[in-house]
Order: sequence, then structure tokens, then C-alpha cells
Amino acid sequence: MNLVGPFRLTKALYGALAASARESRGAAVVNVSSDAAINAYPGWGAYGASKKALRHMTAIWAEEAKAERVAFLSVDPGDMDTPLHALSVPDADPAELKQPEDAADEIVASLIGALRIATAPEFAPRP
Amino acid sequence: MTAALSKRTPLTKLLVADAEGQVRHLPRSALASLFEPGDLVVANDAATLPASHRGIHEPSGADIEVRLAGWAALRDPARFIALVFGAGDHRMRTEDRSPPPPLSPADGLVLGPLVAAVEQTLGHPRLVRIRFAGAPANLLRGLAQHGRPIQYAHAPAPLALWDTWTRFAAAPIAFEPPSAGFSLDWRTLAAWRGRGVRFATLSNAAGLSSTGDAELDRRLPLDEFYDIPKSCASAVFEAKGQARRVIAIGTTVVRALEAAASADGAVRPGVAIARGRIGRGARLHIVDAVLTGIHQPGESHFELMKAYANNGRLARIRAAVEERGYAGHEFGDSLLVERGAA
Repeated sequence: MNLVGPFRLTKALYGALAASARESRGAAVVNVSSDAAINAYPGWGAYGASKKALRHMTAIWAEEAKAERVAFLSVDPGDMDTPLHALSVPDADPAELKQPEDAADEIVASLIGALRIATAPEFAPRP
Repeated sequence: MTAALSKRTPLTKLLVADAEGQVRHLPRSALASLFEPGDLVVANDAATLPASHRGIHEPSGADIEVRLAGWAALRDPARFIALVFGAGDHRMRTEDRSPPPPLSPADGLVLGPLVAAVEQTLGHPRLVRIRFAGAPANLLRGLAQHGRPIQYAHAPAPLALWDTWTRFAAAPIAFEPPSAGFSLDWRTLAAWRGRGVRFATLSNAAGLSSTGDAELDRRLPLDEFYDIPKSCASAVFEAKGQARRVIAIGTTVVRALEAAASADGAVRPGVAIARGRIGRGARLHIVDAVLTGIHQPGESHFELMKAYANNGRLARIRAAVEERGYAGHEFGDSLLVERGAA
């Protein structure tokens, strides 16, 4: 689900993303990664491997889609105070966890940054 | 999926019929090296809807297939122009499909999870305007879940929706695939970009290519909504201003650009409707060459080529097609026709 879902969704939407970029409206894909893509957590094999694969797929797509000016980002939001986190690390102190709203703000900020680069004049089609 | 494979086969052929009357036989991959710097290629980026819906005609209880064929208003999922068939399926040739039961205004049509009513009959037993009941979000979900892409008797296996989308397919507004776009892939676009050949897209809600009924086929293509982005309109204006060529990928692009054209080489951006046929003697302001499939005389696609080539050239194209066994249909070979001197 972490890998095949984003793969299929991106394939289905890629034409629309490229059209948006051609019309200088910007286009970006943000995939949510995890530190489990980097660190080896025992018992998190499927999750860690799929997040690592998603991260690498995003990096490859970023290269492939440069010519069409579609940006691809992989964002690790960090440990968040979510029901999933409580389920997997029951003794974590919620006060030390990031609020999901703050993580969302950070993701939006990196998205805006990526779109600014992708729609910058030097990337625009030649007159 | 066989059709998906056929989109990707490098063996697909391309017949180039130039303005001087010569024909050349090329592999379709040669598209990447055609055209000159500054030329503009325009494609139709409409994705294909799951437009075929099986169901029941309520008053008679008869099995029917409803094929959505056109928008009553672009992107309003409640009202469509539709073609209705009786029992049978796509494994029969369209010409052999039985007519629907007699259709009258207010007749209920139950199409899986969706309920529609005939709003108006449109001068032919198979052609109606229908209205779906329900909220737009539910209609879109129902259309997506219950509908299938229109199938072809000539396709060796049923087509999945994915098979009917070109690689650059964007908004799903077409009823059959704008199939000339199957010729393009990202590598071709990158090769053009590297050589200074420009690429733009418009969206044309391509309708049905055939109805199986000779009388109705003469009314094709039905009116089609199109949407030309400003970026496409300005790319066309620049190309014409610099005396470069504009190449249309498919007849739906020709229809949209010529419908939106003014005599000075400009096209109006925005949403409008392309009406009527383009054929012999049509005044063409924009498109200098068209890439299309291999079509038979009488089909509206073939008639459109008469605006580009005189009878002598068309006869030479037909002879070349037959001599070398070019494949027709949506997933077949390609033909590039340049506009000849009048």
C-alpha cells in the first residue's frame, strides 16, 4: 500500500500534472516518507522496506519528470502525535511528539517552495 | 493487456504523405525526428471516461447498453447525449447490434447503481439526451464504478480503462480515446523538446467514432466541447506568426483549433463547441498537418483528410495502405498527412 498505491495514483494523474506544468500552473507530487526508510527498526520490515522503496521511486521520478517540470518531493514529517504512533509506541510522551497540524504546515511550505522553483521563469517554456 | 502492448510496440508503422504528393513508409518511432525547430505539435490531452453502461430500460424490462456520447454541458455529470443499444455486447460488430426498445421522454434507465431518465429523443431511435438523478459526486462515483470504456469487436481482449488513456491523458472528458495520441510517448516529447519542436495540448471531449448505424454515422462527429488553454493559444499564435507549421495529433485537435480560429492565425482560448464536419473545401486557418489513424472512406475521419489532400493524393495513400498492409482502428498504425496546395 505504501508503494503500489502512490505508484498507481501517480501514473493515473501524471498526464494532468504535466498539463498543469505546461500551463505554468505548477505541478508537484509529495510522498510522505518516514525515518523507517533510513533506520532499521526490528519488526518494521514491510513498512521500512516499502517506505525506502517509495523514497527511491520518488527520487527517480523527480529526475524523470524534470523535463516536464513536475516536481517530486519525499517528506519525512517526523514522529507525530497520532493514533498510529500511540499504537506502535505506547509509552511515548505525546508532549515530545510533533502535532500533525504542524507537520502539515511544513509539508505545505516545502510544496510551495517546490512549485516556486518549478514555475520560475528560467524553467518556463522558451518564448 | 494486448491493447496496452500494441501501444508500445516499436513495430507500429507510420505513413507520411507530404504536401508534394509523395508517400514515405517509416516506423512510428521516427516521429521523434520529424518536424523542424519552431514547429508546434498540438495534442488532445482528454482522458477517456468509462462511457459504456449496461442496464435495463424500465418500461420494457429490456437489457440495454447506454454509451455516453457527449456532454449536454461540459463537465456536468448529470446530463449526457447518449447512444442506446439493445441486447448483445461488444463482441458483436457494432453494425450487428440490435436496436434498443422504443425510447420516449421520461423513460427510466437503471444502470447499475445509477438511475437515469430519457430527457429528449434526438431524431433517431438510438440517440437520446439523458439525465442522471443524484448528487454530482455520487454520479461520478457511480459512473467510475459501473462504467467500462467503450469496447471494440476488433480488440483481441477487453480494454481496461487504463488501456484507453494516452500517456499524457489529463482530465477525463472524452467518450472514446483521442487515439492518435497513442503514438506519442515521453521520449518522443523529450526528443522534440531537444530539437526545438514545441508541444502544447488542448482538451477535446472526443465523441463516438461509429454508431453501427449508417444514418447516424452520417451525423458524426457529434458536437464536441473543447477547452483551449491560454498557453496553447499563444503557442499557436507564435508558430503562425513565425510561419512555422502547426501539426495536429488527431482529428479532434483539427476540429478544436479550426473552430476556434480567426483568419489571422489566432485561436480563441477557452471552452467552446466544435460543430459539423470538416471536409473537402473547408477553410483551414491553423493546422498544416494531421497525424491520424488509418480510416475508411465515408468515416468522418477520412472525410476530414479531404481538406488536406486532393483525390489523387488520397488514392495514392489508399494504395500505399493496402500494398503495405497498414492496420486500421484505434490501436493501429498512423498516417501523417500534410496540407497540399489547394
